Amino acid sequence: MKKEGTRDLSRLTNEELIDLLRRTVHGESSACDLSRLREEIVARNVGLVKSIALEFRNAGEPLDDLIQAGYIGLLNAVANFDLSRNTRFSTYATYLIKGEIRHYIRDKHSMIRIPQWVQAVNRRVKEEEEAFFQEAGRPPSITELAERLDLSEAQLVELLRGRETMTYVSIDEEKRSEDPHPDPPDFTHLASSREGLSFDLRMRILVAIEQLAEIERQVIQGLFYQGKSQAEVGRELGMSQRQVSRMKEATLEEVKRRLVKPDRKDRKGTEP
Amino acid sequence: MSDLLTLIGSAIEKLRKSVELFEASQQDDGLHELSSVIVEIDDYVRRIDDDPLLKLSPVDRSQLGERLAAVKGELQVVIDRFAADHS
Repeated sequence: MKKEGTRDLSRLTNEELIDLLRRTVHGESSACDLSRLREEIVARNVGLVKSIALEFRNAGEPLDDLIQAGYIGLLNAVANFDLSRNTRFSTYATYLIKGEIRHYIRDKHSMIRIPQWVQAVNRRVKEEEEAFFQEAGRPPSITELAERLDLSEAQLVELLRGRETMTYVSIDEEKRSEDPHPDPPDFTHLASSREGLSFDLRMRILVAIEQLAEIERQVIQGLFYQGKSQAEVGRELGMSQRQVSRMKEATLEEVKRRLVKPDRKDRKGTEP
Repeated sequence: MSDLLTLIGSAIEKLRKSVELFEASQQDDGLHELSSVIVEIDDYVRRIDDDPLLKLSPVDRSQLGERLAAVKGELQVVIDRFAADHS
C-alpha cells in the first residue's frame, strides 16, 4: 500500500473512489488523504454538474447558482450511493444533480405558495424516487412509485402534474412577465385514498408529526451536545451535578424506550 | 405535561393513533385524539417556564412556542375541515 496522499487516484473508477472514501471515513484505510479524495471526486464530476446545469440555463437563475445546487446533488450522490447495487455512479449522480437543481429552481420562485402538506408529499416522492433508483438502477414507473407511496396512480399523476406545473411556471420567463403572481397549482382534486380522512388532511397530520419529531431531535441534540455544563445547570436549578446527570440519563432512557417500541420504530412517521 | 419530550412523545403517539382510527372509520375517536393533542400543547405552553428540560437544553422558548402553535394550527385545520366536509 502506498503512503497516505500519494496514491494515484486517476486510475480509479468513480465507484472505486467512493469505496475508498467510505473506507477512509470509517478508518479502514489510510491509503489516501480524505480531503484529496473528496477533491478528486468533485473535480472529476465538475463537467457533469456544469453540463446538467446548462440544461436549466433558461430558468431565470444565475448559472453559478444552478451549478452550486448541482454540487449539492453530487455530494448527496457520493454520500448515498450504494456500492452493492449494479448502477453506475454517473447515472445515479445525474439523477440527483438534476433533482437538486429542479428543487432549487422551485424553491427560488416563492411567489407560488405551496401548502406545507404538499411540500411534505413532494419530499416523500423525492425520497422514494431516489430509494427506488438505488435499488433498481432506473427511475420508478408511476405504478411502482404509487405503490411505494401508498397512493393511487391517479393521485400520484395529479401530484406530479402539480409539481411539473410549479417548475413550468417558475422557469417560463415569458409567462412570469405576463403574470408575475400566478396561482399555485390546485391540489384540491387529489381525492381521498382512504375512507373518512381526505388525503390532504392525512398529510397535515403527518406534517405535524414531522414537525414534532424535528423539535424533539433539536432538543435532544441541545441536551447532549450543545447545552451548558451539568455543573452550570445544577447551579441554576439548585441541584447537584449528580442530580442533573441522573436527569439527563433518565431522559435518554425514556427516549430510547420510546424509540425501540415497535410502533415508534419509524419515528419520522411520514408514510402517506 | 411536565416536560417537552414527554409532550412530544405523547403527541406523536396520539397523532399516529388518530390516523389509524380515521382509516378504521372511527372518526369520532380520531377527532378526540387530535383534540387531546391540542389540549396537551396548550397545557404545556402555559407551564413552559416550569419545564426543567428547557433549562438543560439551549432552546429558544418563544421560538418553541411559535413552533408548537404552528403544529396546533395544522391540527385545528384538520379538525375544522373534517367537520366541514362531514357536516
